[in-house]
Amino acid sequence: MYGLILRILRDRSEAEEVLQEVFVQVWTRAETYNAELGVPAAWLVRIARNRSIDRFRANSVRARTVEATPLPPPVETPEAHAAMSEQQRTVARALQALPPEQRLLIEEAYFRGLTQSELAERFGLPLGTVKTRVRTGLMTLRRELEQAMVGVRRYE
Amino acid sequence: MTIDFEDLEFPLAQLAAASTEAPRPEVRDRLMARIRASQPTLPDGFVFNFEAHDVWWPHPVPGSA
Repeated sequence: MYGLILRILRDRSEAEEVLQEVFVQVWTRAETYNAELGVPAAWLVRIARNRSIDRFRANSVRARTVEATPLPPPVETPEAHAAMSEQQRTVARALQALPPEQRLLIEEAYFRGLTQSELAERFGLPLGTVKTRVRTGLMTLRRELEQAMVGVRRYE
Repeated sequence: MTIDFEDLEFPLAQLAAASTEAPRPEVRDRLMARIRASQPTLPDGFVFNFEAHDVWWPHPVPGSA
């Protein structure tokens, strides 16, 4: 969870602060978990991602910086790759397999919380193009992951 | 319009979590101080006791594996 928060905020102190806020929220608002909406891990991720993006957007200095600074690529050192689980490697492969123009929009939407309109404005694209690229990218990603998971289960 | 990642939200988070360091040890102390200061409403008959040990044991979150 800390890794996700840090990836969004890119500041260790702020990420540690948000990490604490997430756990305090989970501790004090556990009754808001709804099992029908997903597993607990997904609930934790949703809280962490939303809080991180809120913090990022609330910081006006950082918000101005993001206009000029694209997201850094995921760290792909040999050590980081070795530390990945098979599941993480599967996700990484599926994401890397996407056309760059789709991957970029999906990463910006996921890690920056940009809406489709904001993506269109930021990259100077027609809104329809953004919608098509995001939808196609997400469908491809979902399909690749499903196929990979079927492959894993086949060998279990 | 915001983009709903639905079932992809968790896999993408896993990827982000794969390549970074852990929070500094003092974060745990600060977190525990906040936890102690913000007790949730407990059902009748329930009480929390905090252990004094210094080690945090890994605890799998359902759905994370």
